[in-house]
Amino acid sequence: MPSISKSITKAPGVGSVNGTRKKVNEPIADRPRPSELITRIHTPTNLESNFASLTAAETPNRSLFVRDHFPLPKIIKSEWRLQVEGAVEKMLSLSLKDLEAMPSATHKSVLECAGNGRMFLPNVPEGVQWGLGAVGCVAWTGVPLRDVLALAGIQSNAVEVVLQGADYGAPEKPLKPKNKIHFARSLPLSTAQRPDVLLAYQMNGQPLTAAHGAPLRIIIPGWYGVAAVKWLTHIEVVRAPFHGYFQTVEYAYWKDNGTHPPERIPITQIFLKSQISRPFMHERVQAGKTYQVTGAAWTAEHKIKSVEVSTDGGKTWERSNLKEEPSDHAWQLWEWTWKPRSPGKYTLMSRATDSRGEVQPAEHDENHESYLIHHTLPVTVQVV
Amino acid sequence: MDLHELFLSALKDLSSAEKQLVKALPKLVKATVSPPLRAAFQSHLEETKTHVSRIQQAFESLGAKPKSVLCKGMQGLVVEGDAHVKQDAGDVFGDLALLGAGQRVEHYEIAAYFSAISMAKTLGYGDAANLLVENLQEEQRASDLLRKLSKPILKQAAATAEKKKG
Repeated sequence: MPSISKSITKAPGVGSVNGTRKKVNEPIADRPRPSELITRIHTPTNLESNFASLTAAETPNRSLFVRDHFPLPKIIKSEWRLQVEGAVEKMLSLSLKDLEAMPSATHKSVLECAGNGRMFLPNVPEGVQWGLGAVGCVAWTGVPLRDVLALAGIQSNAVEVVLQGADYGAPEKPLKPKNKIHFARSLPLSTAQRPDVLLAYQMNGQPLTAAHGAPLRIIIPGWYGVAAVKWLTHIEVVRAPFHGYFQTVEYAYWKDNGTHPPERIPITQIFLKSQISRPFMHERVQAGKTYQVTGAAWTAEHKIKSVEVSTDGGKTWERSNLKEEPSDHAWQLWEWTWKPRSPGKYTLMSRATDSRGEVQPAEHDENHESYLIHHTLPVTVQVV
Repeated sequence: MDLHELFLSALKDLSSAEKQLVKALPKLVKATVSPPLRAAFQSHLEETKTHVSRIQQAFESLGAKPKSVLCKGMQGLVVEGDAHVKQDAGDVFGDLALLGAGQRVEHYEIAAYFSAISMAKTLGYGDAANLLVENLQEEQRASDLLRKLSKPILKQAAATAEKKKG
């Protein structure tokens, strides 16, 4: 287990719980805590960040959520190699030093688990029941994937790039291969050629930590975290689309096509979303005093145009202030001043609109199963 | 009764169920002939002790005192399991009976966890929900393992029955 989780684990096999809790109706998932991360599942490691402590445009490395599917692989940095193979002119075997010697790029982007917010879905959909904290925004540094592909030379009949990590094990769902598998995902060649798709070895200017995929992970800005394969060891250029477990059985959904039957498609691009960081769920807020409602909004390929806030469960909306200039793939912090007049229970919501006019939906799309939870999420507070 | 109280009562029931199982599983371990099945019961005994601990943590996460209220459903399943230990154990057919008793327990617990987690989520009790999810996942894995282990034991039972007939 990575060392970051040790400090917050109370007893072996038991989730971290803060004993100072007083009010029974205050859910721990969203309140400020002394710890940076909350253990959700011990094996494999799944740690959630505390979204209520969001203050900076970049998530500190120690606070970024961790989503593992298999046990942490043991990697000896000096022996590690990145193999580039398949439909290429020349196979490559690169060390970290080889990659660090190539021209690098830095790009800030949101990393969100495709199941972030699962706590807000009814019943018990499979997977970690994330609250608001399976998301962060990081400045990633690394070599553009296209530069490495250019070194290898892509054959003309190639269509996709398959990225495989060193993590390895038996997947959870009943529909799975007989033998253990490595974590792997693919992306179309057109995406692999984007200059901002990075073979990242640094996060926020520091080397990647083991928990976040050291020595190398792929970062596809605007795509969900599942595509950001950690502990990368193999890049295979393929001549036919890849249909691996983590983009068919898990991390896929039924897309309604209207005129012809629905299709199962892999989860890739992040859906437009905003979240409230303060107040946290069931926070007690003083009547007659001003309160800064804060949060973040993000989307893929487009810019956040506005974020509105409702204090009456979505009946009426007020426009918030965006705190900085919109940028590609990074999240947009926002704030709105609230002065609740009278005591009582209030349901707050935030709703983002992007530059093409798309608005966050009011309800979860059941075709998305327990993924892509990007509808307006309620935060219930008590004004006293 | 409100939803919060209903959830606390589900936690008390689960606490009792898991504690009963901590006492019952060693008897199954002792009575089982098949080494892999015995190992599965033994390892689930260790997990079950952790389940009791996680349920206590779920109470504490709500500022509530951990408590158990007798789970009669688990009591019945344990009584049935005990009967198999006394009457049937000692050969491949006894192992099948014990395996069946184990599977009933796992399915019962899975249903109870589903119900409790759904309530915790509706109430916004994130930590309690996720502590119970960890227990649920281990129950599901235990159930899967029993199903897998049943295949060779069933095969052996069929061969033994055939031999007896011949």
